[in-house]
Amino acid sequence: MPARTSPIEKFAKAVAKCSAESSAYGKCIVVDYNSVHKDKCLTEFLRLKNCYVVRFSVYLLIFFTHKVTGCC
Amino acid sequence: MKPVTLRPLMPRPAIRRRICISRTYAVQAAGNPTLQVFNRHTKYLQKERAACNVERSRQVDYLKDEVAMRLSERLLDINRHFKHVLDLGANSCNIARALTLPDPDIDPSKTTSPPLSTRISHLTAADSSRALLYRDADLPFNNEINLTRQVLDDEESLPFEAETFDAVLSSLSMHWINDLPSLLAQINHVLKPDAPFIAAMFGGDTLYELRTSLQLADQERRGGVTTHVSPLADVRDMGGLLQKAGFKMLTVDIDDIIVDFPDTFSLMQDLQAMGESNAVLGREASGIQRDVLLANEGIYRELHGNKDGSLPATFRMIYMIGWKEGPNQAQPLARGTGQINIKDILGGGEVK
Repeated sequence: MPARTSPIEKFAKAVAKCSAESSAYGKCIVVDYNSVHKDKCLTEFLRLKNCYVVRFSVYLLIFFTHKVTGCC
Repeated sequence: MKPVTLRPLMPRPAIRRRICISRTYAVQAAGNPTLQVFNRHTKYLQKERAACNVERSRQVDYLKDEVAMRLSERLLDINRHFKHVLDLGANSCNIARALTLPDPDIDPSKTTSPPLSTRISHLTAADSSRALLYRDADLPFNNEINLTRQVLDDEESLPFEAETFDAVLSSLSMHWINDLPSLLAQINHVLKPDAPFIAAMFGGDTLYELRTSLQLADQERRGGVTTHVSPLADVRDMGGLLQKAGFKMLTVDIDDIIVDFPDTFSLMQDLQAMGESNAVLGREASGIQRDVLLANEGIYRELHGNKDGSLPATFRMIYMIGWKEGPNQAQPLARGTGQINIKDILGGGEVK
């Protein structure tokens, strides 16, 4: 049985798969970080979150069907 | 004939109840209220929890071990034998371990270089977290130094007699103290005359990368900011605080240690395992929201990330040395009495 993965590790693994979206979101913020307001980069964030949610559920699916065989 | 009265049926008058109120001695009103910044109990729990996972806790001791080593190097400069030394806020006795390591500053004229611990007869390691303090109690370094562990109720009030110690050391724990001026005054109190206090603490720009990126993430996701990284003492403040506490011949300097992490999550996990998670009063009990964490990862990488994809985290140490006033202590000369130009000794001079 694989060692227990903490929730934050699962989260980190899922986020790591979305580096393109994450980078796009970061760029959007950093380009003018002196005037950040709520939902300034909402579209980029939603794209990032969508990616993350998909990855995370895929990860959970694999996890629950006991097929974690070094694929991730 | 006695008039009929409803008195027994009525509720007891207030005057009879008042008899129960006990008089107590007058107490002196507390002094100036101190500003509470950190929740000391939360910090205690975080340290206890972190120390319960012994393996993980040892893994993340890299920073505390490194700072303890640099701190003990400063002890080398003082050519003395110390009878009784206090390690205040000892964490897992990192200083004791560093003292038993071989002398890093090998004197070429000598063939052997004994570890620093030979210069100390008795070391008292004090910390409020029992689990962390006793974590390494069965490791071999304990036999190489005369070490006593003492669990403190609260690091902010020292239970020691006046003029007990020949030196007080403190490594990476004073950044969680609420009332720093009071603690420094107490340290001065427990030191013998002409004894040094040597400490290292996180200060100023420590974790500024995490601080700024979390602020931006909070701002964009939630429209406001909250405290995720502790407020820290500044280098300039420390000199003043030491002076106010009565220390003489002060030396304050800083040193940056930059650690590269693969992602923000491993940074935060390491901080948690060190027992250094956020313990600011009024922090959100729920921790950081997932959306903010998600946003933070991207911002940190874009704003501060290295070219090789790793994320740097700066830890700024403030090292300070202060001496308790004593007779026959070396005094600084008056301003303007210098006879030799320091440029002649150090050479150079032109700043390009």
